[in-house]
Amino acid sequence: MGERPKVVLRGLTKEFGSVKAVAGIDLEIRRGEFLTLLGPSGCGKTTTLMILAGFEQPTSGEVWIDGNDVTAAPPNRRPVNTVFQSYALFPHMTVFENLAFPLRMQRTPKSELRRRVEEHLHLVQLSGYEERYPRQLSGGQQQRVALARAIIARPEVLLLDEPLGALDLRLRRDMQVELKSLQRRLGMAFVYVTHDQEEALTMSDRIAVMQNGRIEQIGTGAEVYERPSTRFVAEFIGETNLLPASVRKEPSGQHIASVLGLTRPVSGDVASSVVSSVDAYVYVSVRPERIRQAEVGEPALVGRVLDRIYVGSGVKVLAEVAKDCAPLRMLCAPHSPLAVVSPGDELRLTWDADDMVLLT
Amino acid sequence: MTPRTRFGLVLLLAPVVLWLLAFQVIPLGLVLAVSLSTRGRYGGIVWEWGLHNYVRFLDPLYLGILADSLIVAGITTIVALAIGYPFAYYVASRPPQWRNILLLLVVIPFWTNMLIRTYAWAMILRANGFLNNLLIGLGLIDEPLQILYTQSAAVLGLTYVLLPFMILPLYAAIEKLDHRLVQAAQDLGASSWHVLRQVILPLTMPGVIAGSIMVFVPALALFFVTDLLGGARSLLIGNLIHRQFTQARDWPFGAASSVVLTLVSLVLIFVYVRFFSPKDDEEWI
Repeated sequence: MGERPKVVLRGLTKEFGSVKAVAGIDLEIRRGEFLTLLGPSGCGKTTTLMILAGFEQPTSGEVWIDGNDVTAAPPNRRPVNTVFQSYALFPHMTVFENLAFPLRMQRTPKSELRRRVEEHLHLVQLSGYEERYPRQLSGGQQQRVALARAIIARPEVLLLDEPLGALDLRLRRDMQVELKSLQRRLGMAFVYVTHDQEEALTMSDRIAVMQNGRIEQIGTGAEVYERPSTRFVAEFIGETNLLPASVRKEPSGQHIASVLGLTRPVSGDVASSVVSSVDAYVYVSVRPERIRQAEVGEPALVGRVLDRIYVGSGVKVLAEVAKDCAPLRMLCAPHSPLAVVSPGDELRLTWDADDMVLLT
Repeated sequence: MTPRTRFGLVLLLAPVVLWLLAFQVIPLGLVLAVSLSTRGRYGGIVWEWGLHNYVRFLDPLYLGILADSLIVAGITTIVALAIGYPFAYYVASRPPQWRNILLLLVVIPFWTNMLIRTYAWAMILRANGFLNNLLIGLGLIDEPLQILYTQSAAVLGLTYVLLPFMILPLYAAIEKLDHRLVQAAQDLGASSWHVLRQVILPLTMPGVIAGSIMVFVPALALFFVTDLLGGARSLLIGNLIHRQFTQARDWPFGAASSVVLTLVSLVLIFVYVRFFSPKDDEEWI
């Protein structure tokens, strides 16, 4: 794009004693981008965010915001604000005072201060709550105050540390949509930390999937879901079937994967790291909703139905395809032919080459 | 309320009521009664009622003593707060296993009698005591400084004796402080000074109030510290009361002085709490 990125993390590491919480992260966050750091607890996502906010000093590496090296800058001298997991609203200040706090730190004139506080309370639908204290608000309202307080000073980047974690499911879903639309309206770069893959998929422009202090894969939701680059990513985002396979190269140059005896052509480029020898043993990942019944005459895996689970929006079917292999998981629409099977039925199952991802 | 629950309530409150009666209401009542009586010729109490002991207290001599006492107790409180707050903050920000050791160090001096420790200070401060010898030995002064038997020595002694009463409530308040609020303030652009002034201090104000009261009120009355370190020149209200009950054998006037001291303390505590408490009356910690 040629545009300068908003945030650049370069060779970032953080060690706590002998534990490497962050083990080398390079990341660019674009202007106005909603980027999510997604991973299980202990993957280093929160530590990365804390380094970005300035609460932790990296062991090595650099943090650049808007073209300035802020690696050594204290939190109060960085153009970033944070929405904390615990909200961290000042209990001794009213909602108005909480929102005014960052503006006062910037020495905003009084008249403008009042106008902006009211404008932002309106933005998060809390007009009229100025004189309340945080403890007089519900969890969702506190969350909105924390959000308004973090954006009112117009930071270059907004950091969000699992801000919806304490809300109930319904409210969380509503807030996801609201957050996303707010981010679009503000055009502000958001860095969002979560362990909830559904949340990440709902809101993010790009997702950085993290494990063991590293970024396993970074890409749009569709990219990380449909083209996971590692087994960890495939299993962490959504459900998947990981099946052992071997790959060989045809004289024509086409790669063929053999999965439990079923051969499928491999679509797209196959990384040389995946197939270095003639017969490479790898895994393939196939999403449950991509498995279908084979046409007559089409090669297929024969599976015996173990269980059929109704999940409201669809039906989950578990089928055994090989003795030493985990049962195949399928998800199908409520009235499709696959959805009406019963345990013990024999099925002929297959998937399209495009729906299969090769993983080491 | 059914008779049964009323009976239960009475039963629950009885110990508290008895305790307060035995140790608060009755003793104070006795002091109040004695303060309204008259001193007998040989130091006894004659039950002739009147306000004459209080009228006597209005003498500029006694009012001056009261004013001096308030000043000394006030300075002691401020010094103790200035030393105690950073110390308590330091302790509260150590790792948990260190906190207990540091708090133990605060408490250990209590294991020695307060009187003996005050004598020790007199030894240190006197003309050819440890401090003067040290300063002369270092060549900083040529002649011993008169430290003992000054008001500064009295303030020093009171601060020393009462410092733990400042540190412990402060520690309790600071330890409860949610560190994430400090982080949030920094994140929102607050410098260290603003973080201290607008977040840490207001949120630990209950500890400041409790500590100040626990230093100020005893400082008004710890007569032996001012006796031993302040000497004859600094007669404070505690010494005055002590002398009325002992040397002067004037219990009624001693009692009247005690009542005045108690009332003045109460008024000051009330004003202090009103002034320094968060504007919002509700509890927020």
